[in-house]
Amino acid sequence: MEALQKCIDEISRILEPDQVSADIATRITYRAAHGPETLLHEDMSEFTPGVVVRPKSTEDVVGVVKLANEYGIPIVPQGGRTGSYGAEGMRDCIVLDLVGMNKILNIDERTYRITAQAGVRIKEYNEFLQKRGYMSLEYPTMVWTSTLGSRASVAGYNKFENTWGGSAVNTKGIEVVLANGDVVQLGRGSRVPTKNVTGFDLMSLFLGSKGTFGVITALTEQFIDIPRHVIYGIWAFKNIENATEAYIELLSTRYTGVVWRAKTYHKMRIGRTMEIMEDKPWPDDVEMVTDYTIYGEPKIAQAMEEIAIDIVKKHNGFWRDDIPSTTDVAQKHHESMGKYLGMGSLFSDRITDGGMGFKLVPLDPMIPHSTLAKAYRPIVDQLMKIEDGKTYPALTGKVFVFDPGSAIPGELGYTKLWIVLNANWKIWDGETRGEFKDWFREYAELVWSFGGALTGTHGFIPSDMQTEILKSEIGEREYDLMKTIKNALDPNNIMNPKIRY
Amino acid sequence: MTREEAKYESATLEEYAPQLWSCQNCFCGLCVESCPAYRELHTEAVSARGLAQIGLALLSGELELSELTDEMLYSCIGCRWCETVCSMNTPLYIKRHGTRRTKVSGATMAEMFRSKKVLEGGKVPMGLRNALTSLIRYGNPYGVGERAKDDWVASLDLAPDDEKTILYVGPTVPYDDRSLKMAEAIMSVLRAGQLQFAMLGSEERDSGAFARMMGEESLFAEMAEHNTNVFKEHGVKHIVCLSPHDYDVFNHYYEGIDEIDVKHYTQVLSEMIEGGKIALKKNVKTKVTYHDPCYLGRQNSVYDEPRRILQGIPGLELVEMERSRETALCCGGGGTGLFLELPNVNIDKTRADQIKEVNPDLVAVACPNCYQMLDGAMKSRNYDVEVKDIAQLVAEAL
Repeated sequence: MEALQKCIDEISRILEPDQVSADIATRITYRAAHGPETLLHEDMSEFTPGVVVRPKSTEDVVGVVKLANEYGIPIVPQGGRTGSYGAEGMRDCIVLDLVGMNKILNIDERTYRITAQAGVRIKEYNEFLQKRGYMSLEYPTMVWTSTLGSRASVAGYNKFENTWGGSAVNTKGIEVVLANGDVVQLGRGSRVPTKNVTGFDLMSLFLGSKGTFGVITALTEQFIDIPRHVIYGIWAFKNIENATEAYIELLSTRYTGVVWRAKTYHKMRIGRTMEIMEDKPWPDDVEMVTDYTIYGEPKIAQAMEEIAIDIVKKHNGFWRDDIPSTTDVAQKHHESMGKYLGMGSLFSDRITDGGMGFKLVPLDPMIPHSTLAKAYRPIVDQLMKIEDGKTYPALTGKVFVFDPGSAIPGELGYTKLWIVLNANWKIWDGETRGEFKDWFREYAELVWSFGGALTGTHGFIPSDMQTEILKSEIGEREYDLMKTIKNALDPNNIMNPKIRY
Repeated sequence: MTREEAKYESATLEEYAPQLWSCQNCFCGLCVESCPAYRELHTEAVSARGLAQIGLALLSGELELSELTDEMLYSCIGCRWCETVCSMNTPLYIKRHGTRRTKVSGATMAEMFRSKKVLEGGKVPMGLRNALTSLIRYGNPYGVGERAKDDWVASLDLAPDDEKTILYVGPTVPYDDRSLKMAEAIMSVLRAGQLQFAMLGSEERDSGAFARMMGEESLFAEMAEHNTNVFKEHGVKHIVCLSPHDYDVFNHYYEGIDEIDVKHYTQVLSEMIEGGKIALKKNVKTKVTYHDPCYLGRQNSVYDEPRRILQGIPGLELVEMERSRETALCCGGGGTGLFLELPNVNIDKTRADQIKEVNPDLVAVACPNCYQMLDGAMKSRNYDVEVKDIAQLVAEAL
């Protein structure tokens, strides 16, 4: 505590008073995050930082990092705090709230590169580009809250990932404050092309590292022209298998660059959503819907639409008047995806008497297309064990399956199966937490049996299982190599040390 | 909870706990970046997401009320942006039946913290203490005796025997000059449209809107009770409100006045124009932008009537700000903003900057709080933009 206080005093000397908050009320407001990790802890004070610091410049960050190193105080960089894990505070750490570093620094319209500070909110970043006739490739769920730096730091998933890649692909350069206070410019940014044949890609080390190697303070991203034409289609299927095969075929490389996105919605999720949010009943015999979004020049898009219709019909896709048009939910809500988080309310008293809404637990395993259609039903069965009251009695009534899996394209040939649970956090106890981890192990084994991965995208893994899961997925030696790199870059282990290597 | 508290949708922090948990569970943060107080102070402790976490810590005993700063307690200006965008307010049940108790709202949380402070005898800042004391004594926050209002009403030569329709001018009239101009303009237009109306003078107390925003729930209930009785005694059938805050309170939180038709004056004027009861003839050649009051727009979805009135004025050019209608920024005069200045909180000036961006000759308002705040902000920013109430513009066009 003495070291922390001395560190805070020193930080207060180099920054303005409004940049440093050590009062307990402010610290409490910077400890939680959207992700479900806090579900697994009884005492929220484990997450309460010792001080909240709001840097306005890279120089401010350098000063704080040097002092943290000197006094051995952990640093947790934060953006919008809407990711699955990593932005939660730690007891007595320094939270670096980077949201104040929110300037667009440069745009080069001929090279399609834009450089901005890390704290720019994605909504404002996207609007900046739209006003100039361009389209951002950063489309996280939480457009309003997420920041550009967070996107790079978690290697974020993007709406058009199968066409344009995730945040790690679209990030072309980063400015990082290392644990020793050095500032480095990694990647090529807007200076020269990305390709580099004379050395390895240092920047990639930092993308997805969640602040464990350094603090990303600015970055350069690529953007694109706004497409001239958009076509959206949505089709119903009587079973998961047909819907999934149609989805996979729509994502064939034959149509890459035209079909920007396809997605499936299981009836448990879309039906309940339509009933609760739109007051429209869902027909029992429609197990899944598949949609697609086609972007491009009008003639190309129209030609593709004909092909897309042939594909869905081949897989027995149909439409009927008694199916509520899901367009409002499925397509328009993509523009304000944040509202989806309101789905935490869908199993709760909130829909009947305005009571408490639940916490979303996104699992999101990455499943190869070679096993996707086969994996679906066993995964649904395993998920439903949560609710059957027999296998995991301490979970039943405290966790609900909201979405047993909506297929969303990941990298080529892989799908992020968007599985979402709703948890009544308020009544979780030690037994619930223990059983959840037991259930999670069983779920992990099942995903692996289909060649899938839990570390592939932003699905949640309980923090004390991360090492175990990571070693299982990447191997012991590879994990040791990660540790070696971490030790080399951050020998005092001050950079977001709750992330375990 | 007593019967009176239940009636006016009062709630304690304990009763509001499900909404605090809803926010903590969801943590989407949609409310944060566009929260006017957050944009001024850059600390989550003043946003709805932050207030929810503070509320839970107060309930668990981890935090004491005395550990909250004035910034945390009073910088929320009650614009209810957070309530509008909140993910947890999206289910149909909430959309259809949501109340002050069931909607997740930073404004409600702030009001509850303030109320707790008042109830626990905590030190309320001087500006608020004075306003509250005056509200209790005189029914207005300006410390002026009730007789001034009676004298003013007596000077108006209103028909005393027809009280079916009253113009409820609220607690700012006749004490604040700008609100007085607004009231006079509304009266002249109503008269031109031959609408018979009465005024209740000092018999009308503050609707309770000010009291509730300052955390005086019991005073709110007392004022609501008083006004309800007065309306009944006078056989009031229609109320025309000057302030959107009073309009909101009468429509949503008063019980026992269901049979009374409550309208904001812009709705009445719009109807009079459309019904041909008044004709806008004179040219008012000016470029105007309209500032949506939070409690008329976001809270009650009255966006079109004020615009229709302005668009009907010959020669007037209406230009929209980027943040208008649902996304309009507050003037800073809600909550406790009219009576308490906090360091580094300049929402009124931020709004003035947004107004200036569209380069109007004039900004039209429809709320006495907005009028005061924006008039002050334009002067302190030294912008050559006049502030006028919609009724003043209509009066000029008659």
